[in-house]
Amino acid sequence: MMLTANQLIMLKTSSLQSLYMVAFSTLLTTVLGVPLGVLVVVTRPGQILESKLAYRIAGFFINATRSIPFPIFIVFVIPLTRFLVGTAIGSTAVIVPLTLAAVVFMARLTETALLEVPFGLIEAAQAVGASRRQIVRHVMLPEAMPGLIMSVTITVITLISYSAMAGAVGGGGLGDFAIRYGYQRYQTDVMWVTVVMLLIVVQGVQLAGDHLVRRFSRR
Amino acid sequence: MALIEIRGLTKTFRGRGQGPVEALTGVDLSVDEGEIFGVIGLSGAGKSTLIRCINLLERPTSGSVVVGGRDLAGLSRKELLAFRRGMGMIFQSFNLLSSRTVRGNVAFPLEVAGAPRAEVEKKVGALLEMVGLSDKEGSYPAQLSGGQKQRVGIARALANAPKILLCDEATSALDPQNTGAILRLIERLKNQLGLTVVLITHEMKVITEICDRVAVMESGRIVETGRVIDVFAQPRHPSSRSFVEVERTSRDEYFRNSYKPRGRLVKFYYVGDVVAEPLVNALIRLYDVRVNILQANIDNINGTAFGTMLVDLSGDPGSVSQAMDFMRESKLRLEVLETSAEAGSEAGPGTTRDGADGGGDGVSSVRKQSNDNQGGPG
Ligand SMILES: Nc1ncnc2c1ncn2[C@@H]1O[C@H](COP(=O)(O)OP(=O)(O)OP(=O)(O)O)[C@@H](O)[C@H]1O
Ligand SMILES: [Mg+2]
Repeated sequence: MMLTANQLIMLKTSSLQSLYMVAFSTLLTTVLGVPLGVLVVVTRPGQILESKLAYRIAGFFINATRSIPFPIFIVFVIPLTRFLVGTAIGSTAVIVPLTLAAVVFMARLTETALLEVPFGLIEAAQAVGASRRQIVRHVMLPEAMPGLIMSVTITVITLISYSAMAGAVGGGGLGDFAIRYGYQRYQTDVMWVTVVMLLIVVQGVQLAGDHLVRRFSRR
Repeated sequence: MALIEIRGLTKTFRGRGQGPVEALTGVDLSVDEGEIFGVIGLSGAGKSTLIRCINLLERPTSGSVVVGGRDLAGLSRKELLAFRRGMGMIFQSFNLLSSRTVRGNVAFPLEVAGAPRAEVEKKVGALLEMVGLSDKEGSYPAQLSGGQKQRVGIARALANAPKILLCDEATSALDPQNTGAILRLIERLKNQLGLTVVLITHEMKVITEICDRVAVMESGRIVETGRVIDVFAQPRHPSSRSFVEVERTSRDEYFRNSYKPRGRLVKFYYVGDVVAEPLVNALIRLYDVRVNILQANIDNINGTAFGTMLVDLSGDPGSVSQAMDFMRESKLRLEVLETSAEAGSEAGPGTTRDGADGGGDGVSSVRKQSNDNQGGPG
């Protein structure tokens, strides 16, 4: 299986584009998705910041976003993307829909992880006079850490797969490369190389995630 | 005024599907400074809800909780956090942070209170020593036994030097040996640190081992309150009686069903110093009665002896009632469980009239107090 010099350069560019898109959206997703997940949990009935309104609004926003298929979602958020990035085309622009879609995904995963923390631990913290902020920072998040790491792992892998659709708006990346050369121009070699590369990356991410989960598990 | 004053406390939970649940109904309770106050009740009686109202983990629906002269209802959010630091709580399921070591768990309340690092280090060391866990400071909760976990729980609860310790079924998840050890630890720390302890349990053993006073709960109400020795020696409410007598009544039942008394099947209850007096001996010497001891037992209730004795008292009817009066005068409580056909059909502790007695030489499968029937009535 040999790629031409030209193809190798394209492969390199695509890889860097993918890395750029995935890295940035992962960062943004984590920074936004975890707090959103926390919000959904603490505003639940019976929880430390119970609020029906906040809980319902957050829940609706998450469900609404998740119900739109990603390719349609990219198009759907173009006005917002233009507003934030200045253009709707290119790798940077793709980060907007990628992040938005993944944030709500991450929020749900965070919610699940946080709900695993026994409420008794929160009560024990309340009993010693911990504030709500302290409970989130020093009880809920650390106790849910293995679950949160697993959530980030799943999110990264999802982002890698979503980013393959970035080609639709000129975002480039490995997925786009595979489709344009491997599929549309029948260069099967190119497709195989990218598929194997993606496979290795996804495996690597999963292994790294599992390793971290083990390191943080104390139960 | 008592350290903890609860008046007319009611708590209603909005039911999940099956309508509202009234967990507490007009509860009045006062806990004095320096005592160990126990609350006993069956599952669902409302014990946890009650104890959780003392540090406002649960908001009362109505009624007042006053601690150290402060009505908790008037506390702002910030004041409540500070107030809770003056109160420690331990739990049945320990509720330790699995992500922190033993040291980290004990340090948690101090960190929350914003104590400087050096102080945290020092205090945690002292606390771990106090509960006997210095060698486990680097372990995670998952690596500890139940008894050790509860010790961590106790150290954590006492980290901010509270005056009050709340124990919600603190020993219910432990085996008898660890239960004893934890109870003794609580008692020692109470004396050492001048704590006031409120503990809830469903086991009478826990109450008799360390509590000074007890409240018995049933369906959201307190049905009886008093010194443990009094409630134990003479429970007034059926619910208290069932806690006190689970074991004993089953033994009584056995004798009631399978033993035919010659005279009267009488149960003596005696409390405190009376235990040391040779009353049975006096009884036999002074009255013309036969005493067949079927069962005798002495419990130690938080330092006071409490005994029960089941005897078959037979002989001349007049002598038997005189003997019973003598025992009553000696500060024993009596209960006539059964009277043989020949001895008359009347029963009850106040009985003085008697029928004829069958006599015989009193052979019993259990234990027999031999007597040599000397001396007449005194
Ligand atoms: N958060 C809640 N929501 C609804 N009902 C509740 C809640 N907490 C307690 N209850 C109900 O209130 C009643 C008293 O419960 P509580 O936990 O105080 O009992 P308990 O005496 O501590 O029992 P146990 O020995 O089982 O712990 C029960 O009927 C229980 O179902
Ligand atoms: Mg309970």
